[in-house]
Amino acid sequence: MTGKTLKLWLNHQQRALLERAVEDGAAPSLEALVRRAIAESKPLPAGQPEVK
Amino acid sequence: MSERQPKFEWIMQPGTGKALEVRKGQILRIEQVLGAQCVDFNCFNLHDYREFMHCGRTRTVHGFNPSKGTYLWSAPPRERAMMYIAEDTYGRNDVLFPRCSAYLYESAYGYHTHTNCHDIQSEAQREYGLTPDDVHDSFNMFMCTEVTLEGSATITRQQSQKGDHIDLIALMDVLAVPNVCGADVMRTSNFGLKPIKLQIFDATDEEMAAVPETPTLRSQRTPKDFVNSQIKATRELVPDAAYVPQFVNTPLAETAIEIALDADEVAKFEALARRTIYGDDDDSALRDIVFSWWENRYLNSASGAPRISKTEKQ
Repeated sequence: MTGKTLKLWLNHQQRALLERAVEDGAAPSLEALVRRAIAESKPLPAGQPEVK
Repeated sequence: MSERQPKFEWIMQPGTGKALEVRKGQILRIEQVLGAQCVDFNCFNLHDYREFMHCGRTRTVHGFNPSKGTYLWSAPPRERAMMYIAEDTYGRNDVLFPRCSAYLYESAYGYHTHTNCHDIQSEAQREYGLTPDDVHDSFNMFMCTEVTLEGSATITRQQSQKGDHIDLIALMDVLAVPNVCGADVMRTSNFGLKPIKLQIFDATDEEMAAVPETPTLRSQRTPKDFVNSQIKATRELVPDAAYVPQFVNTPLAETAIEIALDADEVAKFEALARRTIYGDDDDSALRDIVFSWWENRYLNSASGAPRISKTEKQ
């Protein structure tokens, strides 16, 4: 598998929420926060649909 | 019905709502433009705003998820069928949750101002002279909710698609107030806000004939039956010619942050991406991952009022 560039689309409200997490020390930048979110999230359970 | 020309058409942008006069015998269609957008909805008797749609009554009659073939009822002591759901192509709606409010976003997320259904409803119906205290619990269209075995109501993500719609036949003249749910940091609309199309059509005789008759009972009282029928407001709802919408935090334009992932990060992303919801839309899948992580890390909800924590969950 190779690398890939993704885009995180945010309106100003969504961005403000994540920027507050950055200000609180969760990560040094929004980009780093996204990497932390990916790294710390748990894989989805197999065979358990989340939507109806 | 799709070939018919609408008598009215309007696109509701994120963060906004619209008050609409829908006359008896007309159909209000509420349609997904892009899909996956919750719509909060209220309606009033156009000639007496003290008669309004009541989720408690509707819930009691039709259960937690009213859909095609059910009615929206007014509150006691009126308790009349105000609108009939003639079509519902997605079939997931909710009358368990109240409209979201500014308090919720301040207490749980720390926003001083944030789009919320109560204030959007309030702002939309202000065109007709109504006040913030006149907003009632909403019929939540395209909103997927469940009740846990422990008895709590929960919200899940949704999969409504472009073109999914709900047709409401007015059984009396109503002021209908739909709004684009303002919850962009929740799973209600899959962490994103999208526009919604509104159309009004005249119902055909066949469509009206297909509405099952509801009983007319003496207990369905109106002001002529009240001991005190005087209220400190006019009953007729008349638009304010000077009305100018002042929806907060709009427009809600989106900008992108580019994230270059290495091969290991891409592999982890692929294991996390909810492909059954987002298909090959990597950007939406990424946004879900980020806000789901934020929820797990920061969002504190309890049986009482939710609150924001500045520190991460332990």
